[in-house]
Amino acid sequence: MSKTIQMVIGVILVLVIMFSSISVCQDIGKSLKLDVTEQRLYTLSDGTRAILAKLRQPVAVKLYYAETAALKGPDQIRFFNNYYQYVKSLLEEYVSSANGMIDFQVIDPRPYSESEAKALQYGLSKFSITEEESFFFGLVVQTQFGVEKVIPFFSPDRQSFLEYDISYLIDTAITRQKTKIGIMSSLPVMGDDLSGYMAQMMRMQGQQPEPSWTIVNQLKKQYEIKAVSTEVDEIEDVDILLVIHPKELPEKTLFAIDQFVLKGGRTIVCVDPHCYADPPDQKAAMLSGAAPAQNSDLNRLFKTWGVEMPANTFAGDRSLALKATLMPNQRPEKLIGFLDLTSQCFNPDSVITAELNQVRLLFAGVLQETGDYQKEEGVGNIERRTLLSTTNKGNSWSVSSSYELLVPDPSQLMKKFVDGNNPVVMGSLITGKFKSSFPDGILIDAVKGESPEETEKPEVEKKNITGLTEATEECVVAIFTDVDFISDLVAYQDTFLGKIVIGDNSTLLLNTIDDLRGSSELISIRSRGSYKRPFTVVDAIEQKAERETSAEEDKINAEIAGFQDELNSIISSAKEGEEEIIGSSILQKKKDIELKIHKAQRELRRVKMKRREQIESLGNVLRNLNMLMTPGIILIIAIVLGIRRSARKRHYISHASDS
Amino acid sequence: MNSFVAVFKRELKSYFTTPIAYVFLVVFLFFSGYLTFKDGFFEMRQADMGVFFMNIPLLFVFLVPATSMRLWAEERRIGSIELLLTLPITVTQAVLGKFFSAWLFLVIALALTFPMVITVCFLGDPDVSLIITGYLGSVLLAGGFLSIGCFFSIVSKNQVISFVLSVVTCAVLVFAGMPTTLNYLSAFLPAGLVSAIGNFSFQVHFESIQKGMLEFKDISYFILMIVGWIVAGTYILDERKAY
Repeated sequence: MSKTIQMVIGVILVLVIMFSSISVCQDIGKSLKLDVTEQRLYTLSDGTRAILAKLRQPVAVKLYYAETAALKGPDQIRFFNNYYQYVKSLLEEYVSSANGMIDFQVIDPRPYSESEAKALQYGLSKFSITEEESFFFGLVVQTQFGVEKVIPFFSPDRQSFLEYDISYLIDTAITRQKTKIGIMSSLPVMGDDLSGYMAQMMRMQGQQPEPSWTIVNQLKKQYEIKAVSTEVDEIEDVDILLVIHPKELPEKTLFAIDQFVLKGGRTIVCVDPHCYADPPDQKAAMLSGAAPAQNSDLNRLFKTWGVEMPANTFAGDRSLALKATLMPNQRPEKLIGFLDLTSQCFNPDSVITAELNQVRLLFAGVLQETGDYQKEEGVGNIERRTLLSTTNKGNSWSVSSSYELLVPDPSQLMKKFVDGNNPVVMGSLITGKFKSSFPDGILIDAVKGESPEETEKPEVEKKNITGLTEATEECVVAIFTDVDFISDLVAYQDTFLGKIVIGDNSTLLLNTIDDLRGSSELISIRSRGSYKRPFTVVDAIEQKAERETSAEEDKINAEIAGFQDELNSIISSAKEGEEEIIGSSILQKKKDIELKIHKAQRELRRVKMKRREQIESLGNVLRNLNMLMTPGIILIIAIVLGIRRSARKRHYISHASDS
Repeated sequence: MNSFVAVFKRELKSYFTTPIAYVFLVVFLFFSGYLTFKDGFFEMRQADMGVFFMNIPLLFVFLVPATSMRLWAEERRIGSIELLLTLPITVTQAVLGKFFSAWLFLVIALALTFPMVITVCFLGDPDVSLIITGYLGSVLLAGGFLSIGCFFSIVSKNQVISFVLSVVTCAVLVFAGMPTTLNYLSAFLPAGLVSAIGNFSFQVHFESIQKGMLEFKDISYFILMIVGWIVAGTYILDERKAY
């Protein structure tokens, strides 16, 4: 054998060994990995581990990804390939944590195949790539009891909730669905629940039966709804309790709610320091002489949960305040109590609020933490997660009594508000093993004697009833300090086609219910950490410029208002017959004002342009720094060294020739 | 060991006495900055170096073979190889000395991209561990490409041929992981083989390290690649030194 052939064979052998070892290493070292990301993007949370530990029967998890079809698609689909790799590696983590209880399969549905038919049958989303090929990217979870749960399509937008979504699927597949919602309210949210005949009778008597709130109708479509009286001894046969505007509830009802929560019943509480959907009874107010109460609270229970909502105190934020008119014949003005929450006000790590964009609140209260809740007597180990808050510039403001809000003047209310430096909380999710607010039970009136009918005047005595003093299961309570946000007043709008939803108000409540339906392990799963790492410097420049702009804008608006006042005063002080003179002076003033506005607007544009230029020039500086600085320095060094070297060479040559 | 250090030092020094090192550094640093900003690094407003590392394989495909092509081809062309191999050093020591000096040079080149790290830290709050794994992946990628370049430099006396062969091999191994390539291959190769080819791609393993997962399969891929190509190169050189 010639030496060359021997060499070629040798090299081929080495390369074959190399590629084979690579292949072997791809399989054997699968579990040897280290997640070094700051947010542990590839490490399962304790909540998921707890859910996986609950698995008693094997669960089939089928990941559908049209890999072959994706290869034939445009290169943009590569993005999905990366995401698919991430989903797959996360699911492999599930498999390795599930003690063999997960049967994981990756299926590549080919056109016209059995697996494609199955995928469509499960309800996975199908996207056509070419005439024949379709793209699938979804998940199916099946239990041995025939329960089937599906994620139709893995949208990259929900990447940060990927773990939640997968765990939700497994959790809801193995546990009973909680769907019965009990609604307890001091307001007629359920409407007059009348039969058709009774309703007709009412109409014949000239009365209109009160319709139920639109949000309740919306809930009825998805869940079984049950009214719970505000005077109740025990709350039973309900999975989620929705308490809306609880006004002066009797102690026994508070006790019933307390016990319901301690037994692990999920509860959503909407309280309000001033509820617009609770119109004051003018007659009663006139008779009693007191201001009609439009407020509700549950502070008796809140304190045990480590929070409090002070009376007559409201959340405010200048940047979120909406223009509104509360009285007829009023010009719309910024109302500090009417907040239009934007994405920065929602907790991005909570599945309830992460995808909300706009929620409107009307005179929302302030949810304060009460002392060191963990150590305080009577309060168990509690965790609170903020759901809704104002921006950093928010603050609380208060009125001395509810009288001040009877005929509210937006500009007067605005004067009560001072910019703050911390977000004000208006919604929280509280979890933990709570203690009872009634550790000694409550005293109730009980009729003495077995048959009260026998005696004319039944004897009444106080009877102590007790219940749980501490939670047996993980408690979960969601609190919102506004009621109006789910009322027809704020959450919906009347149109020819019926009610339409405004913003994400109803979504907020629906999301909360959806989250509370799951197990407590599921609720503990947070978002997988965001990949987002914003340019804080650029944001700061933008914010600073925005602040400057808003100050400028306020100044201009104030100027305009001042001129208009001046104008009005001239008109009102004018006497008849002097219109002409006044007319010309008004005209002159008008011209002046217009000129001033024009000038101010130009100034505004200049500021905005300055802001953009500032950011752009920062970008250019950084670009040049990265592109030119080090190469430039190296080039200079190279030139200097080159010159020195050639000089030395010349010196050496001349030296050599001399000798 | 001493002979290894001697070759290593001599080789590293030779980089900076010829203009090639400076040309390489200037071109690499300019384009790494240029491509990063061209691909919308500033506009994306994401304080990480993903965009920067995304372009590294593309830059290295051309620049690493450019540094490695002269490693042995030059020695053979001017005949200094005979002198080198008659010195009291083994072929392995010589190959490793040259390889590691070239690798160190590439690490220096990567280290000189530090203004990018400063930029990202100035603009926001980046995940530092991701930057570290990104650089680790880049260093391993440089080593992988370099071992291939080293191999072809031994194979061919002609620097241009050595360069072209290295570029093609590196490019094939990078683009093997791209969907379009796999699609083309799937037309005439069985599915198992296509996925195996995908596993051999530099791109797949580089991306996996870059996203923040240190996995045995990725690290072992790079180490095996480097070892494999160097062993093959050393074998050829050992067989050929008589010529």
